[in-house]
This record gives sequence, C-alpha cells and structure tokens, in this order.
Amino acid sequence: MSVQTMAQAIATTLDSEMARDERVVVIGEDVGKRGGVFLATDKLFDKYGPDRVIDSPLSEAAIIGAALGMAVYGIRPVAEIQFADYVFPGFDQLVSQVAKVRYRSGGAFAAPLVVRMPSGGGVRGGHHHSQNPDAHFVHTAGLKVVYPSTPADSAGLLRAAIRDDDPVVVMEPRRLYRAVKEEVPEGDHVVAIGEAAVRREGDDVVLVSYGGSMAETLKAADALQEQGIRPHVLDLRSLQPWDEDAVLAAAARVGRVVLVSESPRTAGFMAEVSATIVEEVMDSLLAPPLRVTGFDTPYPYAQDREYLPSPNRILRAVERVLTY
Amino acid sequence: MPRELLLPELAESVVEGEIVKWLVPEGGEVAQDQPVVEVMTDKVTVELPSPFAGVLTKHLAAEGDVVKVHQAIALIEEPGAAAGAGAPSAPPAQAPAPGHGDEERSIVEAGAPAADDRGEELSLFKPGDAGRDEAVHRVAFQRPAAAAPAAVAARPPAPARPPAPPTAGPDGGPVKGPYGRVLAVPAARKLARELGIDIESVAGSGPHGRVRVEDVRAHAAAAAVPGARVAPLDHAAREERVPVRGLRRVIAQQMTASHLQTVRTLHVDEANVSGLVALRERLKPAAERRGVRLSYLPFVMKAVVAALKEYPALNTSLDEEKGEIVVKRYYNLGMAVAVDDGLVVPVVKDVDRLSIVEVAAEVQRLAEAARAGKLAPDDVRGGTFSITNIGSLGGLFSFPIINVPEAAILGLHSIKKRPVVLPDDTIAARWMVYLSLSFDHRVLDGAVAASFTSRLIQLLETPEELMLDL
Amino acid sequence: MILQGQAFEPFTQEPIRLIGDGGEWVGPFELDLEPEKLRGFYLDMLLGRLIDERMSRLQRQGKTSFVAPSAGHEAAQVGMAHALRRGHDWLYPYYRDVALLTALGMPLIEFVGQVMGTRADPAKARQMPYHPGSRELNVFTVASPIASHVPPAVGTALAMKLSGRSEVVLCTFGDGATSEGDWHAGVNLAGAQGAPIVFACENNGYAISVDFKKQTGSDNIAVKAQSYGMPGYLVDGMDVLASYFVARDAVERAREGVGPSLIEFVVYRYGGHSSADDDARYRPREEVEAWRRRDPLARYRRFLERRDLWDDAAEEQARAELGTQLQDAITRAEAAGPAPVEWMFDDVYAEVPARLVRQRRELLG
Repeated sequence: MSVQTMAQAIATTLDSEMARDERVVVIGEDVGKRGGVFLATDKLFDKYGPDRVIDSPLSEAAIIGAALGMAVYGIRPVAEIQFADYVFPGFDQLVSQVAKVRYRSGGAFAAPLVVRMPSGGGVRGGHHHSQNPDAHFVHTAGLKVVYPSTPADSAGLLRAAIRDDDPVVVMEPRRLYRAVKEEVPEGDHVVAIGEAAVRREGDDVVLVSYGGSMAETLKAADALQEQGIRPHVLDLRSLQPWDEDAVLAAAARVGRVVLVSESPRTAGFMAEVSATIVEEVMDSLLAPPLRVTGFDTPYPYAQDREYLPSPNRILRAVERVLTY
Repeated sequence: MPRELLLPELAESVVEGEIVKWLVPEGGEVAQDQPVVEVMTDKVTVELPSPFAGVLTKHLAAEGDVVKVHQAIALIEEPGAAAGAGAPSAPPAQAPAPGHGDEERSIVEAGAPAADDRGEELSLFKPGDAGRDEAVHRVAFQRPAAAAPAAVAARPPAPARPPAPPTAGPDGGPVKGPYGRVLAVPAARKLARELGIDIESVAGSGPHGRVRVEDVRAHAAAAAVPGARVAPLDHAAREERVPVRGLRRVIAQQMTASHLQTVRTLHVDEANVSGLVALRERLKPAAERRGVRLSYLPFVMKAVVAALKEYPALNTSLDEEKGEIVVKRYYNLGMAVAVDDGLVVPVVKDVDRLSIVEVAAEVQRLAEAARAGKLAPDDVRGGTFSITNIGSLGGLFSFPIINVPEAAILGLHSIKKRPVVLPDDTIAARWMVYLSLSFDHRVLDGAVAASFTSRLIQLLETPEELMLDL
Repeated sequence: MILQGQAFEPFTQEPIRLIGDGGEWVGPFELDLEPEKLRGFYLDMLLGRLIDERMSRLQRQGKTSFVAPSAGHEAAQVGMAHALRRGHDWLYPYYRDVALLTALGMPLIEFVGQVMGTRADPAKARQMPYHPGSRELNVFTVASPIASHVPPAVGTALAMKLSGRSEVVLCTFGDGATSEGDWHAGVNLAGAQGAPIVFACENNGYAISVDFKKQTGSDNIAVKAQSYGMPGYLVDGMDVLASYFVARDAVERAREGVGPSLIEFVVYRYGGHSSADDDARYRPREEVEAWRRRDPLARYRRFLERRDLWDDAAEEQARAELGTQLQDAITRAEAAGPAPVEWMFDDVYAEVPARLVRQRRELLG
C-alpha cells in the first residue's frame, strides 16, 4: 500500500500492467517525454521506451484509430485523449470502428483497448477543458464506460479495463487528480467493472453520484448527518454497465433518491438511472427520483463553480424528496 | 493593516504547492511585481510576483512547507496603511462572502466596486469563492414520530435487486413490500395524503397487494361512517390474532376485487324440481355401475349451459381496459367447493361437449382433488360462469359474490319439500329449490337476468327437454 | 504593386529572410516602406512582448487562471497583421496570436478583459483566457480544439468568393494542428475550390512537448501545400519584414482571385506551451538559450538602429508608454467586475428556452 494521488495511482497502475504484460502499450499526445500533461504517464517513457510509450502527432482520430488497429493485431493499447473535450475528432473512430468491430465481424475481431481521458469541470477551463461527455459513450453500444472518484478505484478500474476484452472508456475526474491522497493497494488490485461502492449507509435518502461530483455529494452527506438525517450514498464507479441491483435495492428500501451528475441535465446519464428506478420499483417510491445536474449550457468559464452541482443544491433536492 | 499574499491556483487541478525558496526576507522591501518566492507544484515551478508594493513583514510558511492553494503565505505591509493614517482603503485581504440570504448566489454582484477599491478584491480567484462550496443549507425535515427503526431491522444483508414482492403479508394488515412498506402507486399515495389517510393502513387490491387509487377511496368511504372512529377499547388480552395467510389471503383479495369491481345485483327465483329429483333417483344406479356418483350438479350444469346458449350475455367478461364485452362461445363452469381453509372454485371445461355422466365424473374428480388440496393451476382457471352450491349447509337464498372476471354466478340452495299451490288451487308438497343469481349490472340488465333464470327454471322443471340436445 | 516584382519562391529549402542577423537588409528588392511604418512594426512587437510578460505575471498573482505565452512569435504575427486590411479581411486565429490581434487593432481592454474574465470581455467571460474574438474586426472566436477552426475559415473564404467584395481570410495555427483531420479537410477544400484564403502556420517546433519530428514525416510544413494544389512558403518567422512581405504577397494574390497559399513561419516559443506547462521536461535549456539569441525584437531593433530609426531613448519611451497603456487596460478591465452568474444561461440559443429559465431559477432562487 502506498499513499498516492489519483494521477500517481494511474501512472503506477500503467507501470505495473506494462511490466506484467508486454502487450500493453501507451499512446497519446505528450505521454512520452513529457509524462502526460497531468503526469498520468510519468516516467513510463524512460522505463519502456518510445515503442511502447508513443508520442502521437496531434490527431485524436489517429490515436484512437491506431489503438484499434493495434488491439485487433493483439496489442493491449491504452490510448490517452488529452482532454475529454478533444475526443470528438476521434469520435468517429470510437463509435464507427471501435464500438462495432466485434459485432460486425461476428466476433472474428475484437477491440480490447482502453481510452483514458481527463473529464469534467471545476478547473476553470471553460467550454473545451471542462466537458463531461459520458452520455455519448454510454449511449454507444459496444463501449464500456467507467468513472472512478478515488485514487484506489482509479487504479483498480484502470487495471480491470486493461484486462477487459471489450473497449473501455475510462473517464477520470481531472479536478480530483491531485485533490485527494489515499492508500492505494499494490499488486493485483482490481475493481470489477459494473459494481457500485457504498460510501455511507443510511435509510432516509439515497444519494447516487460518480466522478468529480462525489466530492460535493459527500459534503452534502456529511451536512445531512450533522442535521440528523441518514443518507445512503452510492458511488456508481461504472456507467456502462452500471450497478442496477445496488441502486434499485436501495431505492426500493429507502423510497427517496437524489441523483447527482455534473453533466448537462437533458438526456444525461441520470435520466437513464431515474427511468430505470421508476420502471422497476415505482411502488416502493415515496417521492420521484430527483436529478441535480449541470445546466443545459456549454460549460461556462466565469461561472465555473456555479455550473457544478453544489452541496447546497443537493441538500435542497434532498429536502424536496424528504418532504414530498 | 497588512495584506495577505495567497498561493494562487497555478494550473488546472493543482491544489497545493511547496515553498522552495523565499526571495525576499522578512522585513525586506517589495516592489509591485517583484518576485517574492519560488514555489513548486508537480506541474510547474514558478516565481510568484508580489501583487502590491510594501514591506514583507512575515513569512507564513517556511521553505519546504507544502501549502494549499489560496492559503496565505506571507504578510505585506503597504506603505501608509501601517500608520493607520485614516486611509479609507485598506480592505481586508479576504472580504468574507457578503452575507446574502441565499448561499447559492455568487458572492460577486453586478455593478461597480467601491470607489476606494483598487479592483483586486473582486478578483475571481479569491478564496471567498470556496464559500459557495460549503454545505450550509438546513434541510427542513421533521421526522415522523413512528419512525424507521423497523425499517432498519428489515434491511437485507447484501445489496441485491429487491426480492420479488411477497404473496403474503406478515401481519393482519395490508401487504407490506420487502422492506416493510406497502407497495402503492404514486397516485394512490397522493390521494391518501390529500385525504389524510395513512397509506400503510390501506388494503391493496392490485397484484402483490399493490394499493391503487380505488383502494384508497374505498378505505376513505369506510372510514367516513360517523362513529366508526371510536376510541378503541382495550380487549387485547381477550383476543386471538390469526395471521391472514395462504388461501384465506387469496380469498380475501379476490372477494375484495370482485366487490369493488362489479356492480353486483341479485335476482332470486324458485324452481319446482320434483321431476329432477325423481329422474336422478332412477339414474343413480346406472351411474354407480359406471363408477360415478350422480348429484344434481351435472343436471344443473347442463341446464345452465343450455340457458347460456340462449342468453349469452351471462357468459361474458368485461375488458375494462379496452372497453369491450367479451362474449365467450365456450362453456367452462366453475363449481364452488368448500375445503378446510375456505373455498375454491375448480372449473369443469367445455360442459357443452360432455355428457351428463362425464360431467358427473369431472365434478367428482375436481371435488376430491379440491378437498385433498391437489388441484392443478389449470383446474381453477378459464371459467366463464360459476355455480355455488352450499345448500347442504342450510339457508334459503343468498347473494353470492361473482367470480371475476365472469359476469354472473348462480347460487343453488337446498332442495326441500315445500308447500306449493297447484293449478287447481290445492296445496301439495313438492321438491322446491331457491336459485340466487348474482349478475354484474355493468354488463347485463335485470330483464336478461330474469329471462335467463326463467329459462333455466324451465329446464330444471322439465329436465327431459335436455334430451332434445343430446 | 504586388504581382510585379514578386520576389518569393515557394518550396525553398531555406527559410525566406530579408533581415540578416546583424540587422542588415538582405532582401532582393528595394525596401520602400516609410519610417513610421517601419517603427510601427517594432512598437507592435514590443507591445506583444510586454503583454506576454505582464499576463504571465498576472497569472502568478492569481488574477487569471491561464496564459499561453507567445514570446518569440511576435515578428511573424505582426508581419501578418500588417498584411491584412483591418475590418475588411477576416482572421481565424488560434490561442497564441496575441501580437497578431493587438497589431490588427483589438483594443487592449478587450483582450485583457477576456484574459481576466471580467465584464470588459465582449464575449461575456464565457471562455477560458486566451480565447478572444471580435465582431468589429472580423476575428472569429477562438476554440480550443486544435484545427477545428480550419474548415470554417475555408467556408468564410468561399462565401467571400460569392460576395465579390475582394475580402480574404487569414487562418493561423501551430505545427501540431497540421496533424488533425480537420486541417487536411479544410486545406484540401480550399485548394479544390480556389478559395481566397491564406493558411499560416506558426511553426515553433513543438506541440506542447511533442517535437516536430514526431509530429510529421514531412521535411517541413510548407511542402504539404503541394498535396493540396497551392504554393507553400517557408519563411523565417523571426524576421518581421520577411513575414510581412510574404504574407502581403499571399494575401493580395488571394484577393486577386489567384487562389490560396500556405505560409510556414519558422519561430520559437520562448515560454512553455501554457502556464500549466513545465517545458524543462522536454526541451534542453541550451536550445531555448540559442533561440533567445535570435530574438525577433533584438534583431529588428538592430535593423532600425542601422537606419537611425531607433535608439535607447526611443526604447525607454516606448516601453513606458506602452507599459502605461497596458496597465491602464488591466486596471479598467479589472474594475469592470466579474460576469454575473445569470449570464451563464444566455446565448445558448437566440431565445432563452423555457427549460433554461427554470434552471436559472433553480440556481438563483
């Protein structure tokens, strides 16, 4: 065990997987000599050389497309998209090629690759350094999507993603890259894809969130506990597949749910969670599931913090479901 | 008053920095923009220039210290302010977020800053921003008195999809869901709230005991009887509580459903079955030679089928969803059988295609199976009309409950000798029986019911007419 | 004036230069610019350099969150600015084009307001710093995704062809941009359509940390123009006069309807990619120092001094005046105050939709 930030945990996990399996290769912009603009690939270049840590030209289409080609050949590539906002030039490769290769080849070809990207806002980055395009990936059949919120989970999920035979999009909350240091287990620490984590136990209201918003959600949970209200907090950790059983059981048991995500509200991932809750356990609900989300605007620069679901907005939603 | 030098946010996601080297000692003069300290983050190492001129009076962090972003690292005394010479401008370096009622509103308001403000106070990157990240909202929630401890105890050990809703409630009241609460549609909950009814006390008519809107209404109607809510007397010691389980529970549900759904109307008549009594006596030995016990029921069933063919309205179901009456051209007659726990209604299928002795055999088989508790699910399904025959236990006539989704049920009572007035006005003793027909007035009307009954009676009084359709 | 005496060859092996290292004129033609104009180039470059230094300082004082250093690019940018007809031609810049914008006439307070994210920003503090735009000057609003502005630049040029008003588009970008699919799509379209557009690559040899050899297998950027049916010019981007004359030539040819060009300005970026970058990780100090000795400002100052157009007094005065103008802009930009929270919900659509009205109410009460 060692105490690490999320960025460090990512670099350490990549190192151990590259040592364990010579098929693992890293490709992206500035991942080599620079060690990544967030240092997520720090020191890998010195250790594994330019053939396994590839500094790509500035082209996301090339990065993702090449990763697919490598994967089909037998390599296990870990591609980095420098900011989630820049995935779009490579989106066609991801959606048209990566997501559909197993399906359209009847299983003859598969794409066991990982695409990592710093995601989400709260870093004063404005439109193009704060986006959280999770819904786009979840909506694309053939892709798996994970979204850790802690250094340990980030290590465990990345390892799971690298070993998974399907393409996995790993969205990392960039504003938490350095914000928290915690113990990260060494060795074969794997967090299964599709499993949520219970961060707090409780009976009065269920709070569900993932990624960067876990920070505000836990702050709200702490405030609730001080006020004598017992929240049950779930960290989804994976979005595709997501842990329906855990969410539905909690929703049915408690009857009140608040869903928190920083992505824009309309057609966001929490709309999917809400619809599923209503379809499956409607009779047990004491209030409709409420969403606390980012607004339906491009991510603003000046209103960086107002845009994100704040602890107080979460508390107000909790109040609405408790007093429904 | 000294101003604080804060560690700025030097790059995205950077939350702290290490003081590498102080470039200006304590007591040293500082010019505006002069580099004051060298700071290292894991993204960049930079020199920080001073935003203001003055004397650096104090280092608030030592070389090697790791400091959080927005934390104060030094104090700089500005010229003229130290003497406190009435300088109007010397606002504290961090004005706390202006106290607005709504903590969500940004601390920065539109409009011009104060005249003496050099503008630095309104910098977007002041630590006051952190205020809007703090959870200060007080949640207005009163926990209801009868609280959740029961729910806590009921919590299942491992996270799993909620188990399939139960088919039996744990106590005498309405069916509870797997976590100790009734299952109820949201509209029902809303209605209960509006009517001031505790939804937990409402019996549900839906599948798995789900409480529907009409259940809440029915509950409210029952409760509206004046005096119904009298303070309960304490008789607990002299009471025994029997859980409603199994068959009793199912019956309760189905009776409630029938009662709530149908518009049950009663039509009573009598039949002179002397001829039928004599006929059965004559035929009993022949039936017994075939191993079949011959009761009146097979005759009644065949007569009922003949009458149903002439009055098909009684062999129907109402499909409420589609707003259609389903007219059935098959004749599956249910027969109520008393068993240990209560009542079951097995169904004799396609009575029109069976002979009387075949009907008798099937009736016998079903009755035996029912009493032995060995009815198959198919035996109790698919009925189009039912007959309940509890005459053996006594009673004149009754108001049977319709076996939904059927449209009618015939109650057959004891065949007894009663005095009747003959055509020549003399009084004689004849075998008589009362017939109680409950029908669903949504689907058919009294005239049809009466006509059906009259025809049935005709056939029962002259059973030989059945031979014509042999 | 332009087509005759055209001195520039496309696809040269060596970068085109008109000023030698010692400041001597080495051009093959008579230099016919007025002294005021010649001094003007220097003043514009000097302003660009001062802005660069000042903005970096502001960032370290916490008054802005992000800076994209442009020191080293001034000559190329100022040269290009003077080749355009201000307010008539259109510019599709990228985030490093500080001197280009101020030389083109962008008011300092607007630029600084955008960097500091205050109400002085005509774009309402919507974007992160170093993403300016200007409706009056026909400067398209900068977007972070690299090369995403290239196809739109070509679209505007095509529209100009239709309008017949002899307008031209200048589209600038760095070396990294030439690897993106969007870049190739745009340049190819321009070539196929003969669009009135000049593509200008400020090649500083690095895309953050990725050096040029890893970016492309081509010898340089200019040769790529060959694939798309247009001339490509290799220019010493530390030479403001070479930059100016080649740019002017290309712009006027486009204006005449001859078609598009690609110009590669060889420059060097003295600072890191941005304030979030630590360039010591990927560039040796010696390399940076060597390029410092080729500072475009120093070289051009030597050129002016040789012609008795500049001296120390002029330098001091210029620095003082420009410094004051800049400080004044910073003060006024800051004093304008931050953008109100409500502004977050405007301009998503032409009319604010009902659901955003609700969301605004949810946030503000």
